[in-house]
Amino acid sequence: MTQKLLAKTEPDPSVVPTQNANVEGLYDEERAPKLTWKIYLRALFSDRVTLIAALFLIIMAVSALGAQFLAPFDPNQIDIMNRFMPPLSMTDAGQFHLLGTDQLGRDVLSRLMHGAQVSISIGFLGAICSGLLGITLGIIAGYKRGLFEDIVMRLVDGMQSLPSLLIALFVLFIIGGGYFNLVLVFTFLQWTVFCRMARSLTLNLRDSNFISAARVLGCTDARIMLRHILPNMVAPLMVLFTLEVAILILSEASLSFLGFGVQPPNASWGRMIASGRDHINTAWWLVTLPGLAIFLTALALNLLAGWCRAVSDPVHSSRWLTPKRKQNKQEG
Amino acid sequence: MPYLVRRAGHSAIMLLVVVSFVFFAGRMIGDPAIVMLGASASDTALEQLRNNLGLNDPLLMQYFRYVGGLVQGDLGVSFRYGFAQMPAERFMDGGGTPVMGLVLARLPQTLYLAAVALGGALALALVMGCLAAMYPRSWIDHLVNVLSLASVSVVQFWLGLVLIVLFAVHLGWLPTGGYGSWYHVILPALALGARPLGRVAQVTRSAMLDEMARPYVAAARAKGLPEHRIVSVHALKNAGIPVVTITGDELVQLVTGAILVETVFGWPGIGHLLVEALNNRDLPVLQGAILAVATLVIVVNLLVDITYTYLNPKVSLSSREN
Amino acid sequence: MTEQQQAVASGQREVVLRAEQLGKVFGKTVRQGWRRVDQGVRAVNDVNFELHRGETLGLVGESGCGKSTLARLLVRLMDPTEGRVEVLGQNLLELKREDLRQARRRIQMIFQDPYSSLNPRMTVGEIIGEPWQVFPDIVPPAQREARIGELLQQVGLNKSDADRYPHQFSGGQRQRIGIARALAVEPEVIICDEPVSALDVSVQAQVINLLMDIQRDTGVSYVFIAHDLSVVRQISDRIMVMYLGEIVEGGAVDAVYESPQHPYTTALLSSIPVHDPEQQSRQVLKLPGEVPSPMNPPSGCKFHTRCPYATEICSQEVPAVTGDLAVRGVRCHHASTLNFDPYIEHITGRVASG
Repeated sequence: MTQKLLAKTEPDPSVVPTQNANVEGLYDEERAPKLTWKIYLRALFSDRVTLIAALFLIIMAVSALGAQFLAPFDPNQIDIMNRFMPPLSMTDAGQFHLLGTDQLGRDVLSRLMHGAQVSISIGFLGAICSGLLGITLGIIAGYKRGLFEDIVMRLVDGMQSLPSLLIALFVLFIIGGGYFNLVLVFTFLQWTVFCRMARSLTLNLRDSNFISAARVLGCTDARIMLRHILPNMVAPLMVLFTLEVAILILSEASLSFLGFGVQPPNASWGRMIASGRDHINTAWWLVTLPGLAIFLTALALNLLAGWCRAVSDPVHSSRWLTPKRKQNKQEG
Repeated sequence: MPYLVRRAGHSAIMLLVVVSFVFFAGRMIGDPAIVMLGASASDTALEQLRNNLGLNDPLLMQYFRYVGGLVQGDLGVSFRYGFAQMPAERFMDGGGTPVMGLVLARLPQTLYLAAVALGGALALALVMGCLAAMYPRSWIDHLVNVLSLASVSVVQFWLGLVLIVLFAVHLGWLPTGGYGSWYHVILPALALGARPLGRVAQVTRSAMLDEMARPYVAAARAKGLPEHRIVSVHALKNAGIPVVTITGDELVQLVTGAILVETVFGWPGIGHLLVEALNNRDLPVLQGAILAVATLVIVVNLLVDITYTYLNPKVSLSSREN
Repeated sequence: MTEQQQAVASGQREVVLRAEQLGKVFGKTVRQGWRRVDQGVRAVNDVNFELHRGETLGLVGESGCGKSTLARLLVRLMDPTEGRVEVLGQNLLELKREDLRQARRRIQMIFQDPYSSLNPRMTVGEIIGEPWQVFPDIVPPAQREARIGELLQQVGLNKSDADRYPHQFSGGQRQRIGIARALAVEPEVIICDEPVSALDVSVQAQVINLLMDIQRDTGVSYVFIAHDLSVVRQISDRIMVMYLGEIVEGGAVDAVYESPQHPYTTALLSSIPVHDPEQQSRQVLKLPGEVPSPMNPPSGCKFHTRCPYATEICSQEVPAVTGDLAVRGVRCHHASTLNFDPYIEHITGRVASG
């Protein structure tokens, strides 16, 4: 062995480097499998609690998207004769109200579905916008460092130390409530969460060898941040995104409850609770059901986020992601 | 020592930023005189108010006057609060409620509620967290997990309403709201304390799990120390740091929760004052309440940071930022 | 001497890379009176060399001697504190932005750790083809896929590997991908920063042979950095030995291996493991102590604390370079008087019988 290494090999000019399939004897079966969607799906199915959560979210999403078509009644249709009907009741006219009617006789289920549209979309949109802003600033701050990073992080620390609901209330008081304003306020309040995480992830990544390699290749900073750093941060950012949607749904509910979120006649879950509050003695379901919807949605999102985090953690993920045949091989 | 000075400096700057924000944002609503006296006020009244408050002076001068007033404890006067009369009439009659007085009257109630809620939550959470760490996979361990997950998903005002429905309306055990004797605080404290309970219990559990795995615990067991002594005296002290951190974080959340819970229960605290002011479009009270809350939060954060440093002198500001 | 070595000796070849008085201090330099004193760690000091077209310059030294820092200085991943780096006559350190980017086409790098030097989220094809996103004129878009296939074959992989991800390959294969990526730029110089140190011994030989084949086919020049002397000897034409950030000896590889002039070089050479059990009584030049911390380097000759031949002058005066480190030189007070014959007999003895 030593002789082979010490002696200079004289290459045989007639031997052309060929498509040598057996470099080092490792090929095909022994290469790690590509992580496909199927593997993740299988992992999801094996964890029943998270599976239920995911299914719940799908149902919610479908009813939110298709509320106009799927709701059994018009959410704004007033029917004074049949107000305050408890859940699972049938009107004289033969209409079945699964979740009862409110103080104006409107069907609660339909209002919930339309409310889902509003509440979930605000949560989603708010998370996307604040995510875009926060992640961009975070990556630039973490990669370029220097004065920009100092300023941004001071801003982040400052904003995160104050209660965001307070600031949101004040700002909405000034500019007025409404769907668009709400998304705007969320964007400029919640970007700090994404920024902080993106910066910390960038700090970890920027010293990696493949980043150095990209610099040696002559890549511009923009290209490195976009093509090299960002794609390697996707997993934890997705987890954060999911959590933020839950947080924003809760925040929208609180703001609407206080009267500064979505304005009537648009139904949102928070507003439904607010108007139901006046009748809490007689019609408990007007308050309980919308809140339950919020609670379950947020819970499902949190569960999903937890599962995503567990699955993407390189240390523990093999428990879920290793396909069955590999496990058999190891045992055998 | 210089760390404390720097940290206090940060707090002071934060406070100044909040004050400036409150001042300038408040001006954006429109003519302050009209906001305070209502759109139907007479021109005489408006002009007199402007002279009294110096609203015709340049903005910057007003700003400094405002800050100066704050330092002296003057938060302005509200003519809407209490409204037996129209705001303009009250002004002309020389009435009007000083905001500082309102704030000072309400603040203790909020602190009382927060103390009960947080105190109860902490006590229960520490116990639960320790028990969960001591008996992994038991029912209490699962309970802690479920609770912590649920507590971040729940909306506090909804929880309050559900509690009202359950205990006040259906069971009639407790009042639906208001303030008076000791049992009035139970439901609001439960609603407010649910979230910190879940979070602190979870952090306690994981911190204790880490601590109990350390060699010194095994050594103490071998020495024959009773288990509960090991847990409560030795392990808990070392696990204290992450618990303190999370408690500090939860304090800020508590403010948000207080605003909502006080509204639901009609609890006469500063959160309730804030919402009242929002609904009445009472700008001076709103500004005052926000400043009071923000000051409280900033001061509490400062205290938490100082406590943290004393607990763990190895930690400096820079590594905390990481 | 081979043809290359003769050409080198007579200075006839084009210089593709030149380092002049290259130095790097981490931390700061402070004014003390009229001098600038290092208050940091000096990782590299006074490195000079010239690399000619088509040749391989080996750089050996133990871990922590500053080799990797030097590698990063050469490609300007880090800025030096002193000195210059010239690629084909252009001083890299004076270039800004776009000019610097264009200059990077000439000098590329292969990294030590095959597991972290490839972006896990890009396919192999995207990794190799990335240089053409930066410099579109190297290969027109229509031909890129074909060229990726060519490069993969050149490094001993399959065309179909272009669609796979790095985690699906072994260490040696990933190193090949890294080599293909460097080749895609079509550089004149490749800095190889310990490219085989993280690989199994059997795989090391394959990668070394690959590098040599590439050099033969394309005429690229290498700076080959390693801590394993037997590996370095195989591929290098000339060699430099580094200790605590300084070059202590340099010259044509056979000359240095067969008649070393610095005690450190001799110690390194004589410690190369021998597989012949009959050579039990061979003499190994053992060095006492450990490599000093670069934060507190010894006075005078940095090696004097471990040198069996050190005298008083060695601790007092920094030795000047005898000869030319680029051709044949050594940094030692006693270079001409030391006799390493007992150790050399065994070094050359092994080679002669192998």
